[in-house]
Amino acid sequence: MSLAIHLKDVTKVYPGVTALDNINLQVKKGTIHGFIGPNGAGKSTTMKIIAGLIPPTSGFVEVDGIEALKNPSEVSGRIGLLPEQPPLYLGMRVEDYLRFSQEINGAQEEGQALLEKIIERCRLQDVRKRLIGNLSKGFKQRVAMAQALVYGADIIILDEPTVGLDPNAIVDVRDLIHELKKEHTILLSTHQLHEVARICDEVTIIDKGKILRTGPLEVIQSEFSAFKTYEVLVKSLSQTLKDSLRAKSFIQGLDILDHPEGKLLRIRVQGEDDIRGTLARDIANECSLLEFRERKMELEEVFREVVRD
Amino acid sequence: MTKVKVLVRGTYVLMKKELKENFLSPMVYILSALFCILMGWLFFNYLIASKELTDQTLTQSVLLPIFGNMNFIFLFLAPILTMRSFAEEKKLHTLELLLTSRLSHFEIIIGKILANFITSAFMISLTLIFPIVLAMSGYSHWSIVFSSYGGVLLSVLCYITVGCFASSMTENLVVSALLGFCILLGLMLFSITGNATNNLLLAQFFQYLAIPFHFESFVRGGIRSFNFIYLFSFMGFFTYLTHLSLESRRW
Repeated sequence: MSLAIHLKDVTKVYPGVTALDNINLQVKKGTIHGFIGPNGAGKSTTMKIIAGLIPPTSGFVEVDGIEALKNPSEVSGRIGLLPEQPPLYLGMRVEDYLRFSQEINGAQEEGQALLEKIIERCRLQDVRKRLIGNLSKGFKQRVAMAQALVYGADIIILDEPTVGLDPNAIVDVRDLIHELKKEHTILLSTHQLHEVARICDEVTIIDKGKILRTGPLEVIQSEFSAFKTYEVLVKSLSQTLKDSLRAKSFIQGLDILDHPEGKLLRIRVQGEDDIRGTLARDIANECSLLEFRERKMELEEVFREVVRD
Repeated sequence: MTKVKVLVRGTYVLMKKELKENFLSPMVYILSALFCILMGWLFFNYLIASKELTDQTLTQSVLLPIFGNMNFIFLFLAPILTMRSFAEEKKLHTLELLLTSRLSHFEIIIGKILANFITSAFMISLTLIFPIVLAMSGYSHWSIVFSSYGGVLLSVLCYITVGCFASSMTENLVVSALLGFCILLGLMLFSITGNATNNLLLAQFFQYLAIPFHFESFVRGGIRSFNFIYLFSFMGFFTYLTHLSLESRRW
């Protein structure tokens, strides 16, 4: 699969701060790529470099097969950018604003048809004649997204598109992103990790200007499946069982939590062997076992693990 | 040729948007009203006073001071008109929209300068009533009127380039207007800086650097080629500074 975005050894140094430290990032065409990291990790800087807003201190940036640093004008129409702060002219009508966005990005002949399509796709029909300043935050965000799509860019960069939105608006934006996947490559930065897990094909985790993990979500998750976590619900917990569990070499961690029906044991196990049968039998011998399940590692936990490492 | 076409088109698109924004905001109308009241009052006074100054022509007693005042008033109005140009774009984060578009820095800057210039020309056009009033009393020295208006327009264009530069330096509208005004006032003071030296060449050099010195040539009807060279290189210099200011975001 060819690459829509390719960053090679990109470094960005601000006076006294290294915002990006030799990062390498590859975003495949036609995928939704999640870009996650704590605040100040370097996500926005990376996105600005890709969009051509700021140049890197060193490194190589390729967008859609074009060397972005040497041909910035060729790249500009291929990228639709929704920055963290939506760039909206509050005194303009929605339709005029979108047309202006088309015009400054080189309006094509099919501009009007595309405008109508995007208005419909972003569900802006009812507000197309209204002033942007009078719209709700959810609508403003949709207008800002429409702005990034309205001139037919292939690559869409969305920097925290759901921040500050209510749950319904978040679902709307998520559905829209999912719909866009058919025609665009999307680089999405967000703090909503469950969203990334739900809609992204690949994920990059960045912290302190360094890329910690990048690749398909399942691969990153499986990397951490060397540790398995089992949740065991028991009616009561004896000291003997506690001691015997702690004595087992394959058990890396044991948390005991209160539960309305008794005690919940969270057992972290290392190794490839399937020890579920043995473990369940040992526990059942000592006390009444109510429930035994394997806990899948959520992206949030993967993220915490990666950043902690 | 195509490149020029693209450049003109980009500039036109931005200028159209800026003009629409300018004329949809109450600011232009408030400033125009103030300008009209001030200029009308001054014109009336000069006209009344001209009856006493029998040894002077209408050009000397009315037009010269009126155009001088008009030029001076725009020293304050131009930074107010241009303060929004870049400062508000920065504040609303819409500058990113322009900078990631296909528009070049020069298209953005020239589009904004032209929009503000047209807005100023609209305000100045409101004073066309003065020559009409003068024509009713038999005034016919039209070449001076044309060259004076030309001088005011060129001078205001210079003020606007300075205002746009000041606006590109900050995202605070008040700071932008004050900075623009300070630069313009500083440049105007060049004309009296010449008094501080006995060196004639240096004095003339300082005078040459002040806009009013060149403006006077237009009002007196003695336009020289160096007036144009100065005014256009002044605009070019501040347009370039604005470009550097926008470029500095990438440093």
